[in-house]
Amino acid sequence: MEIAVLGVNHRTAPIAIRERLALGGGRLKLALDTLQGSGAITETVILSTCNRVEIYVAAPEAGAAEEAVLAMFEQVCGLGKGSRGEFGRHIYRLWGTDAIKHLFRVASSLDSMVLGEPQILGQLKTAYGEAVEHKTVGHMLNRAMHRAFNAAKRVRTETQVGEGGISVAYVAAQLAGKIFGTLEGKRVLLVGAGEMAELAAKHLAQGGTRSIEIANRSLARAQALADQLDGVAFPLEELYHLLERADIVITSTGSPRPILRRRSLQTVMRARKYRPLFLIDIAVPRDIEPSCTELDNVYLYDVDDLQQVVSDNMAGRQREADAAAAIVGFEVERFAHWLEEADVVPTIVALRQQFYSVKDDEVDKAMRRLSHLSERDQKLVRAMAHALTNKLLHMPTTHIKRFAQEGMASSATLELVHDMFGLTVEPQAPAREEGEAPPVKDPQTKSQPPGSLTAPAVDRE
Amino acid sequence: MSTGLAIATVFVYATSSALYLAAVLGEKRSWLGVAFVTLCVGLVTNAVGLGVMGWQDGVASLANIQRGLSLLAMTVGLSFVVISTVYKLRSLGSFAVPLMMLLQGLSALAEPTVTVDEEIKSTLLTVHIVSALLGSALFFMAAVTSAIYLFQERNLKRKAFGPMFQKLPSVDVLDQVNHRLIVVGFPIYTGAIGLGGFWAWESGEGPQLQLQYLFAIVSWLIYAAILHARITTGWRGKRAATLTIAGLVGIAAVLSTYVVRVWGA
Repeated sequence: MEIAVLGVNHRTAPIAIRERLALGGGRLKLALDTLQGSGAITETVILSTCNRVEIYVAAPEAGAAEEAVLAMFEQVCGLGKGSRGEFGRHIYRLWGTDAIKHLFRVASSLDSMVLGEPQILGQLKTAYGEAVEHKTVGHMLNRAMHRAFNAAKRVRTETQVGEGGISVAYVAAQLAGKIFGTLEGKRVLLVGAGEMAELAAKHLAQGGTRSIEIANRSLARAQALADQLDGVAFPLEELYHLLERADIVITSTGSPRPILRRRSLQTVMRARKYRPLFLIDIAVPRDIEPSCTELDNVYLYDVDDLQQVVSDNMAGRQREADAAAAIVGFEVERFAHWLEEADVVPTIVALRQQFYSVKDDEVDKAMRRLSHLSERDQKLVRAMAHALTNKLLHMPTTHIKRFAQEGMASSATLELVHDMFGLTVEPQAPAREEGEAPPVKDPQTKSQPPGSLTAPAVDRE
Repeated sequence: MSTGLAIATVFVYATSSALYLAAVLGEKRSWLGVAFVTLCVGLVTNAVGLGVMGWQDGVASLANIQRGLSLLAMTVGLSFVVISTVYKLRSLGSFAVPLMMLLQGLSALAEPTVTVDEEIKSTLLTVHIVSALLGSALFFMAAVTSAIYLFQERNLKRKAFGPMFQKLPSVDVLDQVNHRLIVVGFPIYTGAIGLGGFWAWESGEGPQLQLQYLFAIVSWLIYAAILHARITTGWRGKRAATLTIAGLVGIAAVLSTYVVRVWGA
């Protein structure tokens, strides 16, 4: 029995492929049922997000399991029979330790498009919860998922991979926090109706801003955006009036010359009694005269400034990612060790049962004929039989464990052992590790529909 | 017993300072809670210590210069506790608590030599000293928030977003807290100056107090100007912060002339 992952992510497949293979919503249950029904797979967890579609399985045999997964994609995603070559080449197939490593990296957000973003862990927990609900997880994936969550937690608490902002919109929201403390009750003004401005405004609105006002040369465009953002549209002529009451201003017009000059801003600042004003100029060429930054209580940032913060964060994150990778490596090794022994545990159990049952039979038989022995002597005979059995078991047990540790416990080797001693091995769950919680759906993990805009698209895992 | 309590308080404040500094400088956010609890323990021992002294030597003895320092430490601590809970400015503790430790340390060092000043037994003077200390503590906290404001403002303007910048509060909140502290501290300080002037005139000690009175009036004028400008023209931020710090220099001058005069005598 081995753990495997088959799937696509943002690196191996373009969005056009990923969206066709997506297994969110109603497809999920069907996909889980199809895989469990295939007979080739014993455990399944399906993770389907904007950036990845991954099937985690535990299966006895690689070829059949891969076939089952590909067939499931064809069936559930309604792909034609001939399309397998087309999407099949985007799908990665990782087995054993590679699969575990991949799972741990995904959970720790080291495999994410935006390194260290926090959403993926919640999404993985939700995916696991779904699988638990559909009873498609057994002891192997249970254990693997819990170890993955644990590795992710360690990465989060022991490194700074998840700290610092990343996309421009996110940085803008963070900076706003450093200027105003809270976004609650703040007024956002969009000057120009660009896509980036829209994205940033959405991000800010999540912080609880009071209102969004949009000033644009074309009022119709402004109105369209206002409808979408639940804001109010104004003609560009109202700009100075609007600036007096705004707290956060995002400019993104196509104007070739600055539309806001230092002198006019000075007048505006006086009118607003110098309340702090956060200006984000994402237009190129710039909409706001750069010298405006010299005015008191005016905080002006252009695209390059924001980009600088983004790349500073990126560099820092990469450093932290190396530390995180070490943690993941350690956790993978620990789990792989458990997994190896898990392979041979049923064999050892069967072997011991076999030996003990032979011993018990023989001792009972002998005892019937030795009833004249004193109680003390009977005890002695039993003890001798027990010791003999243990001595005989010692060597094979040690060697089977060694096979596991040295990676030689292939199914062929184990079968040889089974044949040699006439064992019938039922696959069974090894004992739970102390303190490991039974699999329950994490009630704190809220599932988010893919495509809901809690963050700009680039930010999302 | 009171000396023991004073020394114990110094140690508790030292522990809390170390925790606050470690939390802010050493990326241990979770230690802030422990630091806060430790600080509260310190405030309790501080208050109990002062209570024992007041019970033994009369309430007026608390207005003695040595014990006044301890009272000042406690007032700074209490105003920090309020700010920290209302505005969530927990990182301010790394500035306030070390100062409290210093004040309490000086007080504890001087404690064994305390003799109760006959002069201070006038109620008028006790009220004057206590309100002056209270006002000073609030102005001190205002200066701390102003200093952090200036640091944050400079980082925002220079677009330098280091780890310290990330941990400290936002400029707008700092500005608001600064304003509130001055709004509360100003009337108290005004009362203290009025009582002090009245007492000096009554007791005929006026001439010896000229320098101290001059500093007091200058700092009072600075805070009055800050309040006036903010209310009329919306003067705020950088200028208000700079002036708040200038005001604290005045307060420090008043306190030092006082200390020099009393200890000199």
